[in-house]
Amino acid sequence: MATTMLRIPKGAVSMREGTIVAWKVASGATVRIGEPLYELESEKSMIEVESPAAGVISILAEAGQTLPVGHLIAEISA
Amino acid sequence: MSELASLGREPAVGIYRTMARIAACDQRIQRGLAAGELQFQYYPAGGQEAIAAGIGALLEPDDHLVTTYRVIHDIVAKGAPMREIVAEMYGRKTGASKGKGGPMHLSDPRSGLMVTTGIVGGGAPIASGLALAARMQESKRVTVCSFGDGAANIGAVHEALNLAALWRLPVVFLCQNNLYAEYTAYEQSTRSSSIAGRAAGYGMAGERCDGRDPVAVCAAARRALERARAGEGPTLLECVAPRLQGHAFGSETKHMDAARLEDNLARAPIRSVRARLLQEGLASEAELADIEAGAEREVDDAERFAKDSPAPEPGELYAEIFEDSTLLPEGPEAGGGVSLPEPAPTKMKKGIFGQAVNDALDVALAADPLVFLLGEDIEDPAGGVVKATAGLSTKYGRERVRGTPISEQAIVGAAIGASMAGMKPVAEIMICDFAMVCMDQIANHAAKLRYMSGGRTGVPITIRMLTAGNVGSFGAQHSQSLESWFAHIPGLKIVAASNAFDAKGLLLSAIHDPDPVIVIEAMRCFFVPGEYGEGDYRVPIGKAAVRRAGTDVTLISYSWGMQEVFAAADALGSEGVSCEIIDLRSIVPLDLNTVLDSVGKTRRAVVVHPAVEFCGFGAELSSKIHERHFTRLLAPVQRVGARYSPVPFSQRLEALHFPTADRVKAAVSKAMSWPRGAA
Repeated sequence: MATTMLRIPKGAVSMREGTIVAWKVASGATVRIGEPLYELESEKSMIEVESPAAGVISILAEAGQTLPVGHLIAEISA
Repeated sequence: MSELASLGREPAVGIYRTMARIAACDQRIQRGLAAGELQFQYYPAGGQEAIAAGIGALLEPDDHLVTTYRVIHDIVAKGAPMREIVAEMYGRKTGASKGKGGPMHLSDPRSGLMVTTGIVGGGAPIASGLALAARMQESKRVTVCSFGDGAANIGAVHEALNLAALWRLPVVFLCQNNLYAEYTAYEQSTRSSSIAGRAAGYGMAGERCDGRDPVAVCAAARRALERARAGEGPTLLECVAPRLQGHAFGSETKHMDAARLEDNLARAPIRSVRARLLQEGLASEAELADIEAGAEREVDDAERFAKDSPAPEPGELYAEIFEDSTLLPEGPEAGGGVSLPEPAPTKMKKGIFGQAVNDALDVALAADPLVFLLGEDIEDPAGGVVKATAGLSTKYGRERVRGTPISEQAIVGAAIGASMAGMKPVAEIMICDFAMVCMDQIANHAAKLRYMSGGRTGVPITIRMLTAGNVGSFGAQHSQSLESWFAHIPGLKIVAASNAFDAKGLLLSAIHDPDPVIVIEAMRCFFVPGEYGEGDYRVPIGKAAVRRAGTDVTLISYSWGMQEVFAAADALGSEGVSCEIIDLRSIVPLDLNTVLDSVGKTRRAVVVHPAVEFCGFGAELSSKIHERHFTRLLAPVQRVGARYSPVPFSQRLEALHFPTADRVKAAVSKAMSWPRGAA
């Protein structure tokens, strides 16, 4: 059983932290690769982050939180 | 749209296989970025897969490719190993460039991928050089130069296209027009309705095709490659394939027309080519699924390989800057100068500095068929603006002594490319100041390609440049000494001879050196009579010469600064001050040992150079001396350089600008009478 760690990505060169604006899926849901997972806002942009893996998502960071790049926010278990 | 079947079943399926491998790799990298596991700026190539896969299918393994940072499709299609590509993205030592180049600077000469540049348009001049080498080596090799529509508007591309057309070089300039230059739409940066349409202006063939259709791409590319291989010159091939996402991973798409983007996504070539294969019965669903699964497995394997690989060792920081790391000015292996013996030619002859330069070029051309010269006005009857190359084109022909357009970027780029393919080019930048118009080629490419490729490529070029300072009447844009600009870029060697003997010996060393060497020739030295050896002799690069022994103060200079130093030392000698005189000859590598040994003995030092004193090379040298000899020095190191002004035209002002023997004398007096001289 493989687990994919989902961390705050570096969406732009200058990005140091990002805010999870809203989750598009619920914790415990089964997600597909490429499915929109959450909206990420940084000082420069707003992007939709797509799922890098397929499996059951366990969300570890709630919407509204501003977190540094690299911070663990969810796990996807296949 | 013609049927894919027209390509033949195997080639058509093969093209899809390459597209699937590109897409699998591209998607996997973006997933790594989305998961926060990979953190770098990534420029996806979605939508352009059919261009790379189509042309890739027509190229031979030894054909060369020069490409730009939106690159993943190009490098997969050219045949770079997937493991090494992915490991490079992870910055691991097993990456194609040992983790030292990264996704924007990946090269793999074994598959013909010679350069990936992060500088828009910067690859085109180098591609011309690779093609020039193929021509000179009588090879059937073609060079493909891939760039975007944005690059079509940069000067380097213009210079490269003109030179390639002029010399009918075997190169295909492949403009992958994805309709956006970074965040700017094509229509907002370009008036001409097509890039290929500009080809006529260069006197070369031009063709535009649908970059989403492998049949169209292959047809146009086949014509371009045949033209190149037949000696009929370059082609400007424009393949239009709209971009399917933002500029980089994580970029917004606000600058892209939403309806158009949606339409383009629906027509993504990775899907349309798949559908056509099925529709035409060229492959079954099961076969295509198998290809896709194979691509995923290949990327799985590459990803595991990358993750299991270690980061580069700390020692890699200083490795592959120069071929020999003992020549670096710092680092664990830095040798502080070279200790090779001085050359001792058996016979000497009299002549001016300029004749010594000419003789060095003559000797190199006669001895080594890989050596060739290129530059403005260097052919006879001009023979160079100061006759440095007089007689050489007559003796060796215009193939090896090549006059060029006034195109410094094309000149240096051609030298770089040719050197990467085994030639030993000697480029002439007529006047040192003109180096600024090709600094990108010198500083971003010549200096860094060895390092960025993890040592897989190298740039053994010589760039001669004349500085016309302090000879009267050349003014602010023909008279500067830019050695400290070059010295600030890791990867460049710089020599500046003061006399005819060294001018010849250093130039011959430079021509046969494995790294890029900038040879600064001062007009003020050029016509000075002297003596130099006959035949081939080499003055070691990185070795200073102690010209005169002394006990009170060490005077350190190079190039025409030596003339002022000798005059000052003569005058000081008659006043009872004994000067030790060091001629650095090389700025990089720096013979620090000779300098420090001397100053350790005399306990005073004055550094003299024609370049502006503020932030000049003297500042570095002075600092190095202080770091070693702080408590031993009887006075702070003095610097004598040019004043902080552009070089003035009026000779009265020019004389005030440049260092003089009197100013050297005054600096020595200040050092001798320290601390009283401090005021």
